Amino acid sequence: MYKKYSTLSTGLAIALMVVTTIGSIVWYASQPQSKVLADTTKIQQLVTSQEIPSNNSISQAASTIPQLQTINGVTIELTSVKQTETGIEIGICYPTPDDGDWYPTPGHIYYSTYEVLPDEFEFISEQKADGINTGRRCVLIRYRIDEMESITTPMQFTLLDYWAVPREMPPCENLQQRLNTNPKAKAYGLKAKCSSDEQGGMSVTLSDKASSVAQDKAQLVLDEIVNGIVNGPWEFTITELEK
Amino acid sequence: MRQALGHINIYQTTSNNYLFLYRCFSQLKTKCRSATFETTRFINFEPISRNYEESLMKHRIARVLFALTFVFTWLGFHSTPAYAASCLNVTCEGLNPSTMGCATGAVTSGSVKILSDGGNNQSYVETRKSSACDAKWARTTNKSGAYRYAAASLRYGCTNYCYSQSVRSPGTIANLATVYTPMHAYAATPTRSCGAVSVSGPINIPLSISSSSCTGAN
Repeated sequence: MYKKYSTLSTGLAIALMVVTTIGSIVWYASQPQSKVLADTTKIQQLVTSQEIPSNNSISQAASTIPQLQTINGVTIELTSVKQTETGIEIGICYPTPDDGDWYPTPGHIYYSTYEVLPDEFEFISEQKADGINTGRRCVLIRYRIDEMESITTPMQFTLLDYWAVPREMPPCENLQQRLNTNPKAKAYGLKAKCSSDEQGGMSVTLSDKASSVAQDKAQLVLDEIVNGIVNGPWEFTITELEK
Repeated sequence: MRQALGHINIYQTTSNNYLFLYRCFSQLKTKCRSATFETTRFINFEPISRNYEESLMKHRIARVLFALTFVFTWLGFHSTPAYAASCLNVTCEGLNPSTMGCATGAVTSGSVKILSDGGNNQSYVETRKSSACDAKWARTTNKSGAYRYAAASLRYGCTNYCYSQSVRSPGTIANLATVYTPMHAYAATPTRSCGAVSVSGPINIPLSISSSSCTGAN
């Protein structure tokens, strides 16, 4: 009798462990795998926005297309200005510091006595940053104008800033990917420890850097990356419209 | 020392003896206390000896299963998502694009609609699509400069986009934070995405089609 109970209990225990083991394997397999790790092996000397003296300049005549506008070492290119069936469409290109999802914040356009809010924008091309080179993104910004006959030049257009939209992934994973593809972070050998809470909040600390880089400078660069915003404004004056 | 005991083999080693003794204690109580590990005693305890190999095998199986459970549970807790696509078109329907790994490589489909507050603070709504998962979803980003309620609807089907996948924040979300809907299968499905960012809420969903708060067809 005792043996039967013993055999039964042992069998049940093993069966339970089999189920638990299978469950743990299935659970593990259901977790998306692997991780992008920081690679600081290819450190290159870079010209960064911080290393360029802060200057604001219009490098070409304001009325021509393309126009280049440089603020704090970041150059924005105005590539096109068109009058469409629904309003005005302005094309710009901007450099992206990493492979994040960088979105522009276009300002209002002003002409005559009119002020028009931006209606929508559409990405038309993108070259992602890869840790060695910065990226470049081009976008068409559209302004809906009901009174088409009112459109006149000169017209003022401003790009206020552009910023990294949080992608649909945990904040720390998003940051880690951006850090891995940021040439400045790689050049400085930056590594960061990151933790996030359920509300999407993030706590980031600098964990490592190249020995040649000062602590405060490394921290400043990391803060820039965490903030994920490149501030302008870049202001353009448009004197010709393509129809 | 090895001795044949009927059809059962007994391997007399220090460790085996220990196991044998353990079985004795558990099954024969005091009788085992006087047991020695002489060959004759093994014969005397034949019923227990018959269980010996079976017991040993069970212990091995238990150890292996325990190790596997431990290893895979540990891996499950410590693996970091890389967002490899875990679903494809119909199997993505209604699922979270982030947890299913569809966000990696996802791009914006068509235009991004600006939900302006009249000033320079702009929130967005857009349609996101994943080629790897062959699915779409809508995403609203709060860029109002303050905490806001936010909602998004991916509209599809019929001639007037009568079906939807929708999401709304139960409370306010931070500036620069996003909400996104569950996925709808097939990236080629004609859709429109509608968004709302508001100081009051929660926002009623699904959001209706409107030229001021929805993207164009994409």
